[in-house]
Amino acid sequence: MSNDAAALPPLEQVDYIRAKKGLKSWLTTVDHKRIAILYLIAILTFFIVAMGLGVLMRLELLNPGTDFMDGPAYNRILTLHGVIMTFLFIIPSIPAVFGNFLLPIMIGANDVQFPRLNLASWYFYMAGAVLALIAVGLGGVDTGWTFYVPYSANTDSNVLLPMVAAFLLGWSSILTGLNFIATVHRLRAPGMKWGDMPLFVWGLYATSWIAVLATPVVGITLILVLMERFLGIGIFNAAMGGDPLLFQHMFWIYSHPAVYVMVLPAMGVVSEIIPAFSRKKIFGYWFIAVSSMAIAAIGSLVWAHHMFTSGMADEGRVIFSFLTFFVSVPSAVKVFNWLATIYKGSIKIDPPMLFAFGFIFMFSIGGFTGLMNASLSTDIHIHDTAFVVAHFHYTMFGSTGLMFFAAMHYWWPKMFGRMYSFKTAFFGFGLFFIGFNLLYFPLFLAGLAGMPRRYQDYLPEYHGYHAASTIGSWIMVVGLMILFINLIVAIWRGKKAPMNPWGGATLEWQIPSPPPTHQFDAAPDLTHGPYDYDFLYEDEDQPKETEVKA
Amino acid sequence: MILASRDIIDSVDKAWWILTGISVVLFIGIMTALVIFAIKYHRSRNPRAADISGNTKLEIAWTVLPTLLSVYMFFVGYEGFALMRDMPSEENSIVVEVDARQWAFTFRYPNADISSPDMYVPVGKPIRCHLTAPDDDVIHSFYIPYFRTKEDCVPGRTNYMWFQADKIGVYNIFCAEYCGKDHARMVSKLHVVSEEDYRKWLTQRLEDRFRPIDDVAAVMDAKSEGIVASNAAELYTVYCASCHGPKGEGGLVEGARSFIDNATDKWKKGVTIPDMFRTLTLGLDGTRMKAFDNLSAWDRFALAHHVASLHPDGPGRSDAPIEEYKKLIDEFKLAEQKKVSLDFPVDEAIEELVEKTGSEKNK
Repeated sequence: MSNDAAALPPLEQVDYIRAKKGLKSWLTTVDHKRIAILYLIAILTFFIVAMGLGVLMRLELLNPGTDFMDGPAYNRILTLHGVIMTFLFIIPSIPAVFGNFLLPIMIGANDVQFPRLNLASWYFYMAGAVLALIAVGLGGVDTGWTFYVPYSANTDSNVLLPMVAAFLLGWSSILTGLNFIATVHRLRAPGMKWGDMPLFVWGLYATSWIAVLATPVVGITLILVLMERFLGIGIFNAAMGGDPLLFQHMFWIYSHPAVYVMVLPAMGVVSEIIPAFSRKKIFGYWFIAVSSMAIAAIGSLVWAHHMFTSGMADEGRVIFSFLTFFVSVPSAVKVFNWLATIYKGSIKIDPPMLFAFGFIFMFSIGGFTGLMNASLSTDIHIHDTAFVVAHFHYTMFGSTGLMFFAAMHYWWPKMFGRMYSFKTAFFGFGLFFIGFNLLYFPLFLAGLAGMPRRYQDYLPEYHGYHAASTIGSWIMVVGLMILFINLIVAIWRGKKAPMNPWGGATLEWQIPSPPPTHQFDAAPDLTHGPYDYDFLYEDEDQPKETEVKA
Repeated sequence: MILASRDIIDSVDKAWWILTGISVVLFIGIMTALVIFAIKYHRSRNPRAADISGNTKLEIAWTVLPTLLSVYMFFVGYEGFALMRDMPSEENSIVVEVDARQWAFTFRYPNADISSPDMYVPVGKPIRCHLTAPDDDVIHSFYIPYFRTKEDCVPGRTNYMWFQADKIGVYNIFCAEYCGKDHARMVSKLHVVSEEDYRKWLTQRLEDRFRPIDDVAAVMDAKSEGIVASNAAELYTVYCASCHGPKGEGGLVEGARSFIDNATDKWKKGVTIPDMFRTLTLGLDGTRMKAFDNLSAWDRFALAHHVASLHPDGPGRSDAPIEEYKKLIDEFKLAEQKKVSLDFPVDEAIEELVEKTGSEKNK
């Protein structure tokens, strides 16, 4: 195993991981694949930290009363959990890691359009992350990740650093978005039309537009809060003629579309995995592609559904409720198309496929409970309760987070050239799935019973829900750790991965695992489409053995 | 005619059941299809997938149907919302001002100048809530889960919400918008009582605590009837303990004064009862000490006496000459709040209301 490099045939190019050695070669790399790995390490680290914080919060909530964290401590942990999970994990997760790694490969390019800008994005990301950590060192922040004014303008805690951090992270998103848009427009392999792009690329493309168009709004908003706080310009201060609701509008004009920044790439991953493991053409390619753009467009017009109890005009609430319901349509279209893809497929349930099934389960629950949030009368009741916490964890974590893990399991062999243990992955997923549902489902019921969110303490009547939820958090964390350790161990101990372990039809499966730095010396083979699996069946009806690297 | 909250509750619950019903049916459908397909078309049974790449008719069907369903579901939710926002007029309802601040609700009955940390309303009457938060405070949200209703209390504006209880009982009130340290303890109770008990409650409040302060001796003496009736210990727990500590030890938010520490003796406005009354009434500029003018004058005096009693040196430390009290009473015109008396208008208003709603129902 240790003499892999020596065993490579002379004509074989050295893969991107072994292409150069030393920390410096990584920190100055402009190779999109290496940048993806840099992101992967950072994002996973932050995820595990924030997950730990979440477990601490659940532990405090195991029993009513204060066990080991008082209000201020809990609020800081809550804010940190939200800020890290939102800005450092879920927004960048799939685009920054798998988008970076795969977008150029999937369209037959050798890199993104602006490789150095790509590295700059990573440094913006890290700068934001470091600032956020410094803020923690200086006592933490207690505003919640939403930074609502007037709270964020009044609080004693240090708001400056996390806001500047969020601002820098915004830059990272914008630059990555620009890079992806330019790459999709300019670098598709000769002969690849828009309709030949994998749907993951469409998901990233839609996401990038949201990131580029909406992120500046939150940047402006954060700057205005800082001006309010330090210069007292009064734009959100009612006593000076400002309006606290203005902040909420501006914040959600970004932060609601950001929800789709999070979920569209995840849907893109589902659209890759399901056909690959069904060996069947994706059903309704154009409908899935267009529904991504539709979600991006409609999703930009629904932000004020976060404000149904804010005191906004009743007319406004009605309009935003009406619009919100229409986001469900393209989401439903996607689910139906995935189901139709499975129909009469040739299905193999390897770990990535099981994860994709898990996504359909979680996303359906998250989506359907979204209807109750979109609906005016029910939302007035459940707004700002544990119901909402459960809802967005089902969509953000159970769906997008899960697809991030699915993407790891699907592309790990490509990224590191190693297979992992399927048995361990199934076992880890089982624990994750049980734990997750035990953790979040009771919160729907608690919310319906009136349990408000962001509470460090609660009345004894809510004890049962919270106790179940906390126990769920333990099971879920064990499951996740098993999944991660399984993958990490595989990098050193795993069996060598073939070029195309799953029988995928997209271009990344035409190049070695792991790919060489310069992946397409020769023009990629575009003779079959991204979801055309006929090439696997050249020999009668017997699937061709997937190629194994020499 | 005004609809009762029962109609709103029923409408919200109906909407919830319709949405849940639709969701559950679709969810079971999706999951069943998924499982059946996964088993039936497993590679071991179906080695070669069918060559299908789409079906436009099907796509149109599953685009149009969810769209129609969405429009329907929107109206389902709109129905209850329309009831919630169909506010009864001030004449036809009991108005309660809800003042939300870090970290307590105060319920004020404007017709009577009564303030209370718990909410009391009569059964079967529309209650109109006027929701506010002080300009220098943060956003809170007034949430009564039982009535399925909530609305934010936003600094600088007044928001409105209403409900009408149909059953006597005690209900939870929560702050639903994150507001900092003691957000989770910003919990209050709604007491829905009979018309008679409500009147009794109001009357007692007026007798005990909301008389005009024209008697200096009454506010000087911590044991006087008016002061004792304010139940300062309870008020202290609700309004002061979050920052100054349950025993007055201070420091629970940055800069919150200790009431028991001898070393920090220089209080900004002084340590006597009139000084403390002034601090409570006006707040301390440039600090997080707000003006507690949401509380009645008797309550503020009671709180000052309570704080004085916390100090280890005893309340004598806060004594002030009678002239100081007189000055204070003049300064804040405390003797002029004469309108508050037993024949105050709330009683009449209720009487009127009973007749009015009664006759409306008869129509």
